[in-house]
Amino acid sequence: MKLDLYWLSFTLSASYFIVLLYMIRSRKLREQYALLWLALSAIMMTLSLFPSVIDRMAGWVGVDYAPSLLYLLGLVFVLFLLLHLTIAISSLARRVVSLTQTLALLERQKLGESSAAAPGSCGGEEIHGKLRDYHDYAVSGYACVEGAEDEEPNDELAGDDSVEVEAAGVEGAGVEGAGLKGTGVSRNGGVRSVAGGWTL
Amino acid sequence: MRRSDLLIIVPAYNEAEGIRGVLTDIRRSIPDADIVVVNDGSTDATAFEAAAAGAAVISLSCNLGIGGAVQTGYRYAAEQGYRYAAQMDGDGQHLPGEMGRMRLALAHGGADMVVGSRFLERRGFQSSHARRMGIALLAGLLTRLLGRRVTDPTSGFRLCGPAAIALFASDYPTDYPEVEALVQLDNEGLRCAEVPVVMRERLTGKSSISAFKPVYYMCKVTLAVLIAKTRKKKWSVRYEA
Repeated sequence: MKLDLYWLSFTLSASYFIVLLYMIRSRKLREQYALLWLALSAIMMTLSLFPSVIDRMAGWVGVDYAPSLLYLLGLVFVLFLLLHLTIAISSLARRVVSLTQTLALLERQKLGESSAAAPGSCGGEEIHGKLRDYHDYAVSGYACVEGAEDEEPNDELAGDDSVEVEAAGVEGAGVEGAGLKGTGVSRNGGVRSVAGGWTL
Repeated sequence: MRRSDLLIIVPAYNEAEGIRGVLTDIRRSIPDADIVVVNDGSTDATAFEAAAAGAAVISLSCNLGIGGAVQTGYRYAAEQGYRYAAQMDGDGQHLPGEMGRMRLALAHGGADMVVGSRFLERRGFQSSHARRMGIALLAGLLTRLLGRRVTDPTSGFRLCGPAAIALFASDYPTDYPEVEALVQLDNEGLRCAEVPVVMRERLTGKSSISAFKPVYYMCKVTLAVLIAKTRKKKWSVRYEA
């Protein structure tokens, strides 16, 4: 028996719709973007059930070959979506810059305070030690990114991360140099959630 | 932490080799200034070397590029209440001995920012021929757009007064920022003046503009400058008051 093409495409669009709903529920997709996609899949379902709509629309605009109108619409939609995404990325990039700067400035402030609190010394040695720790930590942190895989959802990790960071800070300060490699590895979770953020 | 009126901002990315010498040089020539090194996510010991030379170090957790690093310095200057902030490269191109003349120009010239120009008196290291031509093109464009003579728009050797610090702390261009920043300053009605300086060839490290990028650099900067010129005040993105 012959497979009905229209029903096939309708089934595809419908399952697309369901997958979208699932993604929104599991928070993999934010509602603001999802709305666009839901609208698209609704249009796809309508068109696959009533393909004559396209013919009629082509008649209105004076397009002889109806499918080319479909291509045109699809292309315009994709361009619009891409523009929307680059705008979103630009604003994210601006926020990341601002956040990185604020973080660094706060770290600097904290360093200054702790060195001012130590009596009888200029605080130079302490700062050097911390910077060396920081440097080692940063290097081992980068090493973790390469091996990181993103299997768990980010929001579940967030809770553990902060605890691990605390632990790493204490250990790093107590045992100079020695505990660093280990803490770097245990920080895996933190780094991974960052890497996961980029796969959005 | 503020001991002086002047903050020297030194952005540094993987400059561990030379940074200590550069900082010692600055300290010797400008003993009354505070120095802050913005370590732009270096993977070497830049932060350690800078701290060892006695500078305050701000370490960015990832590489933001020169614009993001320099802006961090201006934000620090604004936060700590410095009246003047200068930016100098971490590779030893800029001679700290020239700062005296720049400070004089800022104090008596009525400008909000003073830029050290290699090409006003054409002394010292004059850069390669191709690069000079690119800079001359941009200088011509800026002279026309701003209605004021600009000879070295790409120079990163700058001294800012309070108004310019406040502006750059809240908004500074991201990549290849020097030229665009001049237009931005002009948009806000602030004045910028050039002072002839001598620069030397970089001692260590590489230029942020590598061999394959000049075409992209020229296109990007020209476009950014033209767009910045047409930008209206209401569109300015500001993070904080």
